[in-house]
Formats: sequence, C-alpha cells, structure tokens
Amino acid sequence: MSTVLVVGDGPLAAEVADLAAAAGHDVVSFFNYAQDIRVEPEIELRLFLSGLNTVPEVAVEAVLADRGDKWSTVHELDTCLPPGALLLTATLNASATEVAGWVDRSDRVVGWAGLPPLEEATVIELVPAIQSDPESVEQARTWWQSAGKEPVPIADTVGGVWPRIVVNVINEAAFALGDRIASAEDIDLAMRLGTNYPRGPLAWGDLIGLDQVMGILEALGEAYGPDVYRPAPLLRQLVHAGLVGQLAGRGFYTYGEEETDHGTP
Amino acid sequence: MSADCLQRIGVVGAGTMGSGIAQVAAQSGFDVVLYDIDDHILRRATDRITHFVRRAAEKGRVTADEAEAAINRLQTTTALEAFAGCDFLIEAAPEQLELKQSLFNRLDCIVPVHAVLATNTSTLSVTQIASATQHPERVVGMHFFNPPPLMPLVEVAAGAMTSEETVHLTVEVAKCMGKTPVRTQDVPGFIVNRVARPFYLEGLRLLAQGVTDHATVDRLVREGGRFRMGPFELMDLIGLDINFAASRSVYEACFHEPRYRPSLLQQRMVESGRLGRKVGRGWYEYGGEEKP
Repeated sequence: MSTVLVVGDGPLAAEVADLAAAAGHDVVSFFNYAQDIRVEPEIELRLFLSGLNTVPEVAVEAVLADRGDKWSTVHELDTCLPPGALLLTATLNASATEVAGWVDRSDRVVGWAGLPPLEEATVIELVPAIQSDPESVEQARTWWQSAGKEPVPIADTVGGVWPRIVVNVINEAAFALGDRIASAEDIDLAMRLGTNYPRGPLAWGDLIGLDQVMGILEALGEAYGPDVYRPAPLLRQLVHAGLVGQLAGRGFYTYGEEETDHGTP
Repeated sequence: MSADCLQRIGVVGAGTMGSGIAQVAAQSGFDVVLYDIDDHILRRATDRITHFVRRAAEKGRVTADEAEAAINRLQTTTALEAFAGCDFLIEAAPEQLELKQSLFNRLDCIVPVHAVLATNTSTLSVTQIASATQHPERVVGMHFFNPPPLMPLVEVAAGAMTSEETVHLTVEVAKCMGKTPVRTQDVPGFIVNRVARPFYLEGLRLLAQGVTDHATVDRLVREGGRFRMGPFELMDLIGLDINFAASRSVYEACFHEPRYRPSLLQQRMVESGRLGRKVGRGWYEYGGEEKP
C-alpha cells in the first residue's frame, strides 16, 4: 500500500485519513481546524511537508471552509510533492477543473465528493477535471476502491451530487430555526419522522462542521447564483462565533455533558 | 380542558387523509364522527377502516374485541350538525381555501364553545382559515402525514391568533392518538414541506445542469447519504403533480423567494402526464418493467 497525505480543515478530512489507515495505507495527515489558532497555515504546511520522511504518492485535499486556504494548500502541495504524485481534491467548494487550473500538475488532479459520515457511505463521487489525464482518473478510481468506497463518476461541478443536496437541506433547516419556525429538536424530529431522513439536518450540520457547510454554500453561490445558495443568517452567525458544531462543542446544539441541550439563540 | 376528558372527535372529509385520521382516532379510544358530503365516499371509507382494523387484529397487533370496539366507535354522517357533541374537530377536506373557510365558518357555529377546530391543511395558511370564524383562537393546524395510520409525525401549527391552550390541547390529542407532535409556526410548508424543498429542487437543478442522470442522483443519495429514497423515486411515489404543486405553493406564498423557484424540467414532466407511480410512468417506468 502507498503513502497517503491527507490535508484538510474539518471532520471530512479526518474521516478520509481514518478510512485510508483502516484500508492499510500509510497515512500522514495535516489538519487545520477552524477553531485552532492559525499562524500562516501555508508556512506550517510547508514545514510539515519538508519534515516528512516518506514521500506521498497520493495527496487527498479537503479544505472546505475558505477558498483562499484551499488555494494556498493546493499550491503548496503542488510545490512540495514529487511531480508524479496524484492530487485528489474535494470538489465541494471548487470544481476539479478550477483546482487543476491552479497548479502545474493539472493532469494529475482528480476531484471527489462526499460528506460525513463517510463511513456509512458505500460510494464516493469521482469528479474528473477537464485537464485530468485518463490514467490519473484510473488511479483515483483504484485508490478509492482500495479505501473501500465504490467510485461513481459524475460531471465536474461544485458541491458534488448528494453533498450538494444535503448542504441545502441543512441551510433550509438553519433558515427555519433562525426564523423561529420551530425548535432545533422539533425540526430534526420532523425531518426524520415526516420524510424518513437518516438524521436530522441540524444535527447533521453539526457533524459535518458548520464552517464546512457554509464554505460549500458560498462556493455554490459563486458558481450558480448567490440568491439560491445564500447561507442562512444563523449559520453565518454561528460560524463567526466559532461554534462550528460537534468539533467545537457547540453548533445548532450544545455537546458535552448534556448532549441534547437546547441549541441556539 | 385536557385531552383525557375529551370524548368525541369529529373528522371532516372521508378521503385518504380523513379516513386515515378517523381510523387512528377510533383505534385510540375516541368516539369518532366522520363527515363527508358524499354518502358513497363515506361507505367506502367505512369499508376501508373496517378492513384495516380487522387486519390489524388478524396480525395480532390488537385483539379481535378491541378491533370490533374501534369499528363500533365510528359513526358517519352527511350533516355537519352531527358535530354538535364533538370536543375536537379535524378538517381534512380538499385543499381549497374558500371551501375550508366556508366549512370553518359553519362549524364555528355548530360545535360547543370549548371545542378546538383543527385543519389538516399542508399548504394553506391556518391564520387565513381561522379568519373565517368568530373564534380564531381555537383554530389550529394539525398536519398528519400520508398514510396517517403509519406515519408517526403530526405538525401542530399555531396561527397568528391561535391560543396557547389550543396548541397545548392539540399536542396532547396527537399524543393520545399515538403520534409524535412537533410545534411549528404558521409558515408555508410548515417544517417538513419547507425544509424538504431543496431535496427535490437541488436534485432537479443537478439534472437540468447535466451533472448526472436521475437514476444516479437517486443512487448517490441512497448509497452516499443513506437516505431511504432519492429525490426522483420519491417524486414518483408522491406524484410529480403533487410535488410540483407543493413547490409552487411554497414559492408563491414566500413572495417568490429565489431558492424555492420551481423547476421547468419538472413542469414539463407534469405537462407530459408522467406523474409517477400512480400512472405507471414518471422519472421511471413502472408496471411490466420495474425501475432499476
């Protein structure tokens, strides 16, 4: 099995690292969570990469909260990784084609899309860029298979397919909560019982990370029109306050001793 | 008054929703008066309820005595005056504002002064229906899901004038009927039909943008997101016309909020008569050829 570098800023990246490790890959990961105090993350990433004693053949990137951070991360990976290394970019907040356009190794970039909980998914969305070399796409497919996910090819788009649907349902639930239509608990309960959703959208947002959800919505807005994908004001406020969900101990709900505390203002 | 001392529930309309609600109420121990203008529809509803309740007994979910008792608690009528002795009324007439307003206006004069008037509307404004009565404080939304005997959720929607006492009693009645109530404000689509809009609309946008085909969207939503059904198979089950009407009604009631904008692609499907399972053809083909 190969050495895999996983770089990201939320639970999705952490899940990919776990997945790859469980599949027997050597995994090195560099996580940069929103609530950490960050000092020039791209310099930290460069130091981190120069300190590695193995050379990754595959890099998986999932920096979702901020497109500027995604750009510098991808740029740094392009500079520091060996020329042949494959770059698998999460197309949730930039199309694979856009990311490929940022780097010299455009032909080695292949996109993918999924969301937590990735461990419950049997499939992963495989997103070739216009610039992707067919051999790179084939290697990406093989890599995801080795990680236990069946790759399903889709056309290159921001947000993927099922992640795009899910973040918009979460946003709509955040509007409903912010507009005081119902409590967080009742919104989640209604969606589970009334239409059989596998989990309540607000709890799901907390699991994915609200900074991640907002990053995806903003990128969708940029790609397809901000009027449809405008993040709910409450979602924005929670992200501004650093209350990005389970990882921060509080998002729509409060976590810790009392798991089901009444959420939000 | 509390839900415990409440004896008799009236149900207006004996269609799928009305007869389902009447069945749940009768099986929960309430005396039920089921009304419809059409005697034929009432007979069909009674047959259906009797069939389902006896089948529950055959499957051992209730005893035969309990089943017969539930059936005996149900009476039908074509006269609204039969509601004079009802403490709690649930209206499940067709989704037409003027029809509901005229019903509520008449019912307001027939039922006792303490009685609650609940509407099972899913798309109309509870406040607007309540405005047709002299007592808007006792009018409330009580939205069951289809089919009522199987779906556990009830949305209890407070209109602008609904009293807290009315909401509270409706929540209690829903619990007595074995349901899980959630409280919501009187907004278009309440919780479920509003928060679920992007599930369909985003699927339709992905299709319109050529990201992938409808069967792949459904598969990814099921196998990636672990939903029980994808948006297109769910539209086929609900009926594309019904689903399209729901999107349109939320869009229009929210003053053309862009994120609720209905899909042209879906409109063309409805216009072409591909309405889903009920006609054998929607996004998928049914009948001889099962969907993949």
